[in-house]
This record gives sequence, structure tokens and C-alpha cells, in this order.
Amino acid sequence: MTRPTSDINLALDPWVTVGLITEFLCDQFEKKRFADAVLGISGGIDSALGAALAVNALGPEHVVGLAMPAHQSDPQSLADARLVAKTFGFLLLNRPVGSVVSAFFNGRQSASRVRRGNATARARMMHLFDYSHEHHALVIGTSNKTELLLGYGTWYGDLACSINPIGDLYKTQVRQLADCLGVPQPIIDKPPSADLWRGQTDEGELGLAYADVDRLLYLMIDCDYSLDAAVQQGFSRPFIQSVWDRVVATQFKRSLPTLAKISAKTVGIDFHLSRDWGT
Amino acid sequence: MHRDAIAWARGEKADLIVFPELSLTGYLVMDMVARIGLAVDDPALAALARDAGPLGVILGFVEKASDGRFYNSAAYIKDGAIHAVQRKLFLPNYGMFDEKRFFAAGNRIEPFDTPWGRTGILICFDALHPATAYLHEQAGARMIVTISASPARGVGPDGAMSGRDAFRIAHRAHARLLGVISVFVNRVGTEEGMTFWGGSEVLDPLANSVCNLPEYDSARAICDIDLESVERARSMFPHLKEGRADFILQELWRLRMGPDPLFGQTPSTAP
Repeated sequence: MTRPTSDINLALDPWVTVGLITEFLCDQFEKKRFADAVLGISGGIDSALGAALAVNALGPEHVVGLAMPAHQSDPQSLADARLVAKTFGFLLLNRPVGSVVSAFFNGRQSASRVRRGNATARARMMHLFDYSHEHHALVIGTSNKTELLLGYGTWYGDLACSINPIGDLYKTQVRQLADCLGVPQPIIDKPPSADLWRGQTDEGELGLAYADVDRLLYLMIDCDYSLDAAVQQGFSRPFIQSVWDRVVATQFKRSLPTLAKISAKTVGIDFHLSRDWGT
Repeated sequence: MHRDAIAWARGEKADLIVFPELSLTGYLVMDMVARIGLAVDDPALAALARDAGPLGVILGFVEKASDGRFYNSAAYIKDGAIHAVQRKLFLPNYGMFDEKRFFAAGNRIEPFDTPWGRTGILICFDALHPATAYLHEQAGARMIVTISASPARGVGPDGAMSGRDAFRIAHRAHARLLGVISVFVNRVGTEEGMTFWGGSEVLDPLANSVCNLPEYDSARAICDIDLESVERARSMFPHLKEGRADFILQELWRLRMGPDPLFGQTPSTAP
């Protein structure tokens, strides 16, 4: 596709951003009365940044990472997860999910890799929330803004969390911040992957490059450009349309389940209460 | 928190203490308005007024009006009584803001007299509508106090943050173009993931910063204000004297209502 010619600037002031996220984490942990955090550490850049920010806000002794390899995971991912834990000084526990997923699909060999991938993401979610209950630790999610807008995540799987400090950062911005916070270079440089099957990469599966889609999403979502105005910025119309269709089609993943409206005040429709009220 | 700060300000022999928008309740009140709204004669406000004694206090609260409506309001308290209430005039209802769902909008500017001169209050978004500060000036205000709960948003490179820029520009424009002492007091802290950026500041009528507080951190400071600076600034830049309120009224009328039915179109200066 044609490279956009305009000066779309996704750069963030890293220290303003880190300051806001640190304030957010401290505030949420205080209001929710938690001292400890737990998060899945995949060996990728998003969870590495999430861990770095959590360590920055709470201290390394209050952060626990779970590495949760599946049978089909790349062994390098576990090595990278260990590198992240060593870099930021928090405890990493290994909680493999391969046998859980195998048992779940026992006798149903025909299950597609997407079904197996979803089950893997949900098995990880079970580990995180089980750990949360056992150790009174808040589950930190690490889906980024690009993934949330494209719906690139498993509903009630990796999208499930209590709070998410990086959900308003595009992948490009995650890279920028990760670099500032000292995430190891090999983790910044490797191709992003959900690591749900061998050879999977985000960009291969989505059929787009993060650098392009981030610039387009920034124009359309943050700057309110119309589809036509985005064409003027050098993006191809089929690319814009496919990205936009994907954003629209995945709204359900960003919302509470739709309820049938019956009563005068309905959860999620006309009952409005701040989650922070009274804390 | 208010009692603490009021006691501190009294100890410092301050004349006036200013709290941010909705200081008594927090910003995201939503459906709680009906449970936390206070009538102007509520005993809780009277108790604060007693605590304040001779200290002037400007604070933000959910006002429960006698007709059942709720307002995002500011009260001016002094000598044991509430002397003025300014209701928020422009309720933001776009993007992350949903104030019209929960509040009714005020319809009057209510400047009030104080020992340090006539003062007008603007509440957050009010300050970004240029006519509000102008109306206060026309009503005789020498000081404009903007109380705010402005969240950080639109973070960009090199310290850029679009949520802050508009307020800093408006705050300076009020001081410099209207010849008033301009006080801006903004909330700090975090509610539901949004962080209020603080950065409270006092400007003299030439828009020089007389006192400024840090961004994001809770802070308080005593600031001395030179009241005669208003006369000096208005002598140097006589915007008020040179102002043409009648012309503005006439043009607003024409733009809103069309040509005057009796005299037709306002004469143009074009040949």
C-alpha cells in the first residue's frame, strides 16, 4: 500500500505518559484495596511493558508474573518471559496450560487451531483469576489499544482483567514506551505474536502491518477523520474499509453483554455509577 | 479535607481559599446526584461556613434546587453565610463528558462583592466560552475565579497535552484582555482511570504568573495579590473603557434575529 505522506505523529511524551499510568495504578490499587498485582507474562512486548509499569508503581515485590506456556508455544517465549522477570526483578511462576487444553479437547481432535487458541487464552485467564483469589492480587490486563480496537483478543480470555494500564496506547506507542522503560531489545524487536500456534504472528494473521494500522486508527478514532479524508492521507480505500469494518464488528468485545431492557433502570443502559464511587 | 484546608488557611491569615470544581463530592457523581445534592441552606454547608469564619471560601458542590433540578455549582462563603452561588453555565456533553445527563445548566452570571473587589466564578468548561468572562467583566468583576476538574487527555510528544492547552490560553486571555486577576484552580488525583492535571495558577491582570502549583500533585500555597494591579493594567490597556458593549449587543441581535424590523439592515461601512 502507499505510505501516507502526512505527518501523523503517534509519539508520546514518555514521562508524562508513565506518570499518568503510575498515578492510575497507584490510585486503582489503593481504591480497590490491593497491594499485589498478577499478570500473564508471554515474553512479548505488551506484557513486558505492563510488568515494567506495575513494578514502577507498586515495587517488584508486589508484582507476580505467570508464564503459561501451551504445548504449541514457542520455547523461546518462556525464555523471553524469564528475561523480562529478571530485568524488572519480579517473581515469575510457571503455570503450563497445555495439559488443561488437551484434556478439554480430549477425543475431539477436529478442533480448529482458533478453538484451541481460544481455549488456551481462557485457561490462562483461569490461572490468573485463581491466583488473584488465592493471593489477593489484582489481575492486570495488557491488551493494547490497537488490539482492543481491532478486537484482536479472546473474549473472556486475554481480554479479561481487572484493570489495564496500556489499553489506551497503540502498539507503536507501546514500543516507544517499552524502549524508554528498558524492556530488553530482543523483546522489542521480535515480531508480535499471540503465540497460540507455531509460526503465528499478529501481522500475518491480521493481514496488516501495525505501523500502518496504528496510523490509520489514530486518524479515524483519535482525530475523527472520515474514510474519504483518510484516503486523502494516502491510505488505500480497501485497507481503510477492512480496518473500519473490523472495528465496528468487534464492538461486542469492548462492551458488557447486551441486555433486554425491561425495568426502569437497567445495568449497562441507564444505571450510571462510577466504579470508583465511595472508595 | 475542606475543614483541614480551611483551618490551615485561617492559620495563615488568608482572605480567600479556593477549592476546585465539585470539590465536596468528586467529579464523577453520575446517578449519585440525587443522593448527594445539597440545598443552599443545607446544614453541611452552614457548618463549613461556621468553620470558615472571616475566611472567604469558594468551593464546588452539587446544588439541589427547590424545583428538583441539580446543578454543578460553586458557592462563595464568608462570615458564616453563603453570599453567592454560581451555577455552571456550559455543561460539556461530548467525548468523555456527560454532564447534561446529570445536571441542569445555569442561566445567569452571578458576580458578587467581596472585600477585595467584585468577583466572578467560572466553572471549568465555562472558561472556554469567551463570552462568559466578558460578561463578568461587564458586570464589574475585577477578579475571575475558574474552578475546574480538567482531566489529562490528548497526550502528545514533548509534554504536549491538549486538555491543558485550552485552559492555559483562556486563563491568560481572561487576565490580559479583560484586565482582571485570574485565578485557576484545578483538581488533582484520579477517578475511573482519568487523571486531573492540577496546575493551578494565579495571574495578575497583565497575565503574569503570580503563583503556580505543580501539575498532578496535591498542593496548596498562599499567594499575595496586588489589588491595585487591576487599575494599573486597565490604565495601560483600557479594554473596558474602549469596549463597545452596545455594538456587541446590536451585532449579536442581528446575527441571531436577522435585520431589525424597523430599521432594516445595520449600515455597513462599505461604500
